[in-house]
Amino acid sequence: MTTTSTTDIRQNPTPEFIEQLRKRFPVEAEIDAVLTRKMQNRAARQEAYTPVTLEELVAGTQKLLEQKISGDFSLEKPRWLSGGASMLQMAFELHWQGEDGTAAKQVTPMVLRMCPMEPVVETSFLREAEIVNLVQREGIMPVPQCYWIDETGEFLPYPAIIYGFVTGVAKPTAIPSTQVTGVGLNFGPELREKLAPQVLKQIADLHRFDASNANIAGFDKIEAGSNANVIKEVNWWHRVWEEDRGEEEPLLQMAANWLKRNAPVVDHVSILHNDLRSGNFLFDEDKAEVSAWLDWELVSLGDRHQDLGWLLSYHFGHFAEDGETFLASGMWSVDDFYKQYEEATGLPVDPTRIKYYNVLNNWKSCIIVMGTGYRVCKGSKSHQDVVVAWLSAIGYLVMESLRVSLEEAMA
Amino acid sequence: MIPDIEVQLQSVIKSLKDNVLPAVDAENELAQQQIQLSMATLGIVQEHLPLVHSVVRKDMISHVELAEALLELATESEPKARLQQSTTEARTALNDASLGFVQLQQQARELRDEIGLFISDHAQSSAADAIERRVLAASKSLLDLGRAWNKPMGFEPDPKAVTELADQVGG
Repeated sequence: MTTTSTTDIRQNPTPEFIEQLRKRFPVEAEIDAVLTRKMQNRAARQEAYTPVTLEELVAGTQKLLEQKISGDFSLEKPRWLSGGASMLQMAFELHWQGEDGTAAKQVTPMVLRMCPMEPVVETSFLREAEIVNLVQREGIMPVPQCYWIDETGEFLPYPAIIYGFVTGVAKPTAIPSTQVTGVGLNFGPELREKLAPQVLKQIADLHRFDASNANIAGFDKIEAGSNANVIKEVNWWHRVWEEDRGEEEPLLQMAANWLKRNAPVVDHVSILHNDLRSGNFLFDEDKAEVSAWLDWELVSLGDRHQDLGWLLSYHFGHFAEDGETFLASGMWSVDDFYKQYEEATGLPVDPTRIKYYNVLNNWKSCIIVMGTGYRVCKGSKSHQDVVVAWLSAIGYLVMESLRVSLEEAMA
Repeated sequence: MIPDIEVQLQSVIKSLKDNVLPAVDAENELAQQQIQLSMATLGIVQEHLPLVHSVVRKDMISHVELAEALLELATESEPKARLQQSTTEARTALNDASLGFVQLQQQARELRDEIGLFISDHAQSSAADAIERRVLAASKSLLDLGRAWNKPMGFEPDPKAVTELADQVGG
């Protein structure tokens, strides 16, 4: 019998251990770079996370902006923004004249999002920025302006991304009088009627866009007619599990085997948000218009069913005022959604693939809360350890969802 | 003197509630959330303390039973030999009254690791499907224990559907 603290290879990863995982789980090049950096940083930084001050964030942002902006600028009114268990957020105003310093004087409200020492989800700001900019350039759906990234924490204490500040709310400020029991956001009948068609059209536009022809930095090229990228996605999260877990869960290993053996072919390469649901877009309450889709950190390219399974899952819905109709993401019955989505995209919805991606999504969620969530707390690596530890308690409930989705998919 | 950990926890929670919480800046959202979660976490730890040994034992027994069922399906000799050895060590540990819950937990983790390797090593074998279905069939009761342990955190949509921890371990 051994003791955990000295022999925990995941807390003290050796170069050999890191290399072994890289070989065992081939992933996209950018994901490989991000995960390898995570493990190397973990090995190098044995100390716990200590709070970053607002002054440190301002100083780091100042250094980053000096590299990105040619003319004079000043960073004004910095302040903390709350929310989220993963990132530290600072709002500020940038007084500037554009990147080359030749535009008219202007004031732009911005938000800095910075990882703690180890976030619950280790992702690529390069991929996030590239996709958000593409989505904006193509007019696919409303997103915040993405300005700059500090990909490796060269200027700030840890990797960071700077967005334009977007106004709007993620949920109604007044709970509708028709509020019924449910875990998902309830927009109420009036707002729902106005938001649901917009949201569905924007999701359809996102998925209809053919990403196989787009040359996007940070993404391996994906061809329709293959399941190679699905295998890489499974490898990505399997590798995260092996890098981070505290203890093995047999169900997660068997699910990994099944997911690899049964990976479906992708018929159309879509941009996948990977946390597509109510609560992740802002809207103008007076106009009832969506103002921005947020939280692109998990973005990938692949099969639309991955997003659809998540969007329509039980966790994010509730029952309508009639007490009988389940409203996925608080907006549509599942059948209505499928019908309208197929009409809007011209792409079919395949129930078999929905079942597959329900398994994949549940499995990924388990890995995030039970694997990385555990590791962040074990190493005392974030500003929110007590929150992350609390949230990891949902892990067994999510594993039960995984078990049920596996039973459905394997029937 | 052996310190009474339950009393120590109770004292800390009372101190936080009566004196620390009122002194935390009401405008500091992060601090407010974290003090509330810290107190709630300590309360749950206090509640779980008398059951932790029984829960670790039950979890370990369930994994030993799963391992023994999987061994019947093995087609790969090396993973089989490793899991067989780990299962034997786990059985020995369960019969050793001198082991505390931390030592048992460590032994259970080593067994879980071997079960995971066994599943992984059989991924391409003719027994893969049977092994995976066996794991799936065994999972409900394993997860029920974890869900009961975490029930006080309030994530269960229907808490009554999850059998209480004490009832599951016969405490």
